[in-house]
Amino acid sequence: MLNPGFPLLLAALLGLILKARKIRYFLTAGALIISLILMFALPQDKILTTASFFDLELILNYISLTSRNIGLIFGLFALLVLVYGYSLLSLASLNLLNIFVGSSIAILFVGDYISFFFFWELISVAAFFLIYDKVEEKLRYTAEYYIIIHVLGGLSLLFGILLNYNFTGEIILAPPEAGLLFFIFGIAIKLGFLGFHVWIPKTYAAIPFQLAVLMAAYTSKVGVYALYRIVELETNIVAYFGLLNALGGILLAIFHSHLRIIISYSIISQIGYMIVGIGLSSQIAVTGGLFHLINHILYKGLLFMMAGTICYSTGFENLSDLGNLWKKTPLTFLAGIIATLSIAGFPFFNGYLSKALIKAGIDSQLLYYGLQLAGVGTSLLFIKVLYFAFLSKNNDPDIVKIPPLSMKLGMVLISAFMMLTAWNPAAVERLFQISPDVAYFSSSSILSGVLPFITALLLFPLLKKYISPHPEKVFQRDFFSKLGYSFINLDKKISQIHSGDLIRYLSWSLLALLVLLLIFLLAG
Amino acid sequence: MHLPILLILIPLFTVFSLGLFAFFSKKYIIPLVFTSSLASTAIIFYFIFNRETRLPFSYNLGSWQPDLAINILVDHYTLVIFAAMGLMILLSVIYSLTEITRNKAKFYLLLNVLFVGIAGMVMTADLFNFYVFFEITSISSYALVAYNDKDISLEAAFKYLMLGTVSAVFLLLAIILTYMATGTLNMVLIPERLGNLPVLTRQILIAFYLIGLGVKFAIVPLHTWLPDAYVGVPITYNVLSSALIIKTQFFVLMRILYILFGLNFLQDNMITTILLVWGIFSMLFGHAAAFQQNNLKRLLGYSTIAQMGYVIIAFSLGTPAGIVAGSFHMVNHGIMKGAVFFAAGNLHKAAGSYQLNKMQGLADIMPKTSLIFVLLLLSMVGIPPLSGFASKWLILEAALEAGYLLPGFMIILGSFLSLGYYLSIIINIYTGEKDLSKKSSARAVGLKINEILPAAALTAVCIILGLYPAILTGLIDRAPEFLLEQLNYINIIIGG
Repeated sequence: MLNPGFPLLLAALLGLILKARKIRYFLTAGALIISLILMFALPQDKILTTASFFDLELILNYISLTSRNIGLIFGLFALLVLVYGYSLLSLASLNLLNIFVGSSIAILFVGDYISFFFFWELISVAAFFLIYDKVEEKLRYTAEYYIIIHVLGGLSLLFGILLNYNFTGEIILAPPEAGLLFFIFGIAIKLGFLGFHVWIPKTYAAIPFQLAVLMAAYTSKVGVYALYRIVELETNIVAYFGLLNALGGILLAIFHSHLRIIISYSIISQIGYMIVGIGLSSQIAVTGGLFHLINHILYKGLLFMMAGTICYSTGFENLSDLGNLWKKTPLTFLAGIIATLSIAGFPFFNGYLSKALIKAGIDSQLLYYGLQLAGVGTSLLFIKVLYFAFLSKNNDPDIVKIPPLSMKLGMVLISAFMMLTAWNPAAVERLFQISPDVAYFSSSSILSGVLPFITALLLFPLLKKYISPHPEKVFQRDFFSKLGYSFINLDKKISQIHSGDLIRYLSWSLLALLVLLLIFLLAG
Repeated sequence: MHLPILLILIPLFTVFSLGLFAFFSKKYIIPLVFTSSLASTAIIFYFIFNRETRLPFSYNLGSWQPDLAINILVDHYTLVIFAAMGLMILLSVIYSLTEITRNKAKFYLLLNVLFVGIAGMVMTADLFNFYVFFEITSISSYALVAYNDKDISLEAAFKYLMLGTVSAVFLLLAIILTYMATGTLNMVLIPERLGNLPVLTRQILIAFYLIGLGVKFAIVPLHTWLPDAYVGVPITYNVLSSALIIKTQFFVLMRILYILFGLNFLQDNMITTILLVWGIFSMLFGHAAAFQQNNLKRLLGYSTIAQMGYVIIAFSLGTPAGIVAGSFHMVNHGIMKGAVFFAAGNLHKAAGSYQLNKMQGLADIMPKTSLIFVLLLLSMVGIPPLSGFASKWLILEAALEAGYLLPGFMIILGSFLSLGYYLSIIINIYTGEKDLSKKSSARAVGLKINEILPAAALTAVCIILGLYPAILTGLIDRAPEFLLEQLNYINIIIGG
């Protein structure tokens, strides 16, 4: 049977022939729907398709509960992006979207490391070409940066896979017995762990916003899924690293004022929540972490859609250029409020349930209060966004372009879907097939959910002048690119010693002989 | 059935008839060359498909006594080069049909001399004939490098000649010393007699063999002729050099080391370790140097040096898995690099230059060739499901299995470095002009079918091998038997 990601990959092949935009658009939509149907129709926990690589057996289709749930949201969100981007997605990007989303979905349903690695790299390659632009030099640079850091992660993963294969003789996708460090390094890059996170803001702030909406949902979530499948430790240490990410992301975000940079950094922070959930040993917390992943895709998608709509209609993306938009773009404002309350985990909004689950599974005070603190930070961050973009009277940008209906419809649909899940914990429990003894809407839970937001609301007037927006550049050389450039400078020497002088070249050959003879003489 | 001898004789007679045809009627040159390469390819494929029944094969030319025997020998290890020859000879001749426009007779004459040399080097089982064929290969190579008559190709050919000749002196010295020590040049008799020599003598012999052949397969720092030579030559020679010539030279070195000296000697006396470290150095150096190039051919030349590094690493592991992995990469790299050069030649038709910055915007003019180019470069980096990944997997697996973790890690590092410069090619090709009125110097050109076919065919092979690598491993999996175990090799001639 077909792996649920394959309809999209097949659509990508078909797309090579079909050059009409409308046809490609509906081809992608159709493939997505088939893919969603496959996820439900195929039996779970059974090896459905195999292939072979040398004498190794590849498991191409294995549907587990978790992978199905993540696959569902991957597919659904791609449909929502199709709605939002109806008039924005270009002919080429539609086909690359097929590969990008297709491989992101396919990777969830494979059961061995080689196919896992294959799709892992395919995601990077597809993303490279999605970002790439023939004309815009900045996008070329961004794409190059993106693929270099992701292939670095991928190669590290490959080395880990090989070490593990060499040790166990197995390539089944299971927590490895050797080379764990290389796995972790590869995953850390993919999910944007603090220190390896640089590509996230760099990419998502630079690319066209409709692509940011799309791409932000997948790459790092695949990393989280990999963390869930691969890293299994005795201790809760991963959870503490997650907390570090949750807090660090906020600290990085709070002083920025470019809309998409802020949202990108907050991805890092939210990934931290998921890591906390997955890193804990209790089943409830793990489910909470995975559920948070689903919620995160939704509200982060909405936030990017909001940022995109603002960018589309005003032409500005920096908070220092924005203000007083609430009357001009009421729908976007409403979307912003819903997204903010969701990401803040406010009761009866989207992020609340998953955060409640994670908190219910936490057994340490440090993690609990750490997450609450991160919640305060997140709330503060998006109160800042809402205030400076929609309410503040400092600026008054004009609406240059009216956003098309499709963009509005996208936002409405995703908001509606978010509210639906937020009010329906029973459906969530059915989806994950758990029945935790968590009282979602008890007064203490609600209080714990409200508290961070209220604190942030109270703190905001005090902190406003420290975090007020300022103009900033999207492109800055970071540590990794400086490292790259210093390597290139060092590397120039190698070119310089090739002077073209025959005598020099001849003496190199003789030197090599001499060294060989010396080694033999001295060692013997 | 003495078919293998025909592999030497067919090109040899082509050479002689070419001289006649060039004198009387030039229009028969192309059909003649094409037919002869077709015949060679057919023989090679005959052996590939009938390997179980026909191999190992040996033939004593002139039935001389063992000490002086001239033996032709084809075993499963030879199939490694046969696989490359089977693909490359015909495809490169096909590509050259339109590329070579003047002095056709001279070019094809040299090309066929080259084929004689390669076939001879691969199949000969005595050092004297090996040296003869080695020089045939070398001299035709020097001449082919100079073929374009441009300043750059003449200078490169001169450097190549000097470096090659100096190293050939050491090779000859090694052969003479071997003869003096053992009294024979028959590779089957040498191993036993060589075993009585002191260790140091044998080590020095190995050093001479290494330097003598090392120049030809471009191990750093003996590589210096290669990037220069690659710039000014026809694509046909680029392909043959990358895919066939340097592979053959390395192939023969491995046969000499493993058969004459034996695996145990090599492992006990640091030879394999030295080769391993040298291979890693060569690989990293090649990648690092390729990083700096802005001429596409020169860049690909350095990349060939680096890729040979992988092969050297794999072979110096001294395990069956290592030999299979190295052989796989030898063939596979030939396929990929051959396709890259063919595609680069096609891109050059539009750009008019191999300078990377002059190749900008080619993706708009030649979308299909550019796409093929991207696929191949990704394959070279080792991104699945292309065949480069299978190579890398095999080499890494073999290295780790033999307990070499650090070399394995270096291979990963090397792949990462290679991504950097392959990306810069992709980015240059896929750069368009912002200002549409500013026309780039590139112009659209119609490609002829014989120019498209080789690149497309090899790319198809690359994809198929990526999905079903077992096709190639099935061909070469018995190679270690005839390389690592001297007795198997010796028995082909003495026992058979």
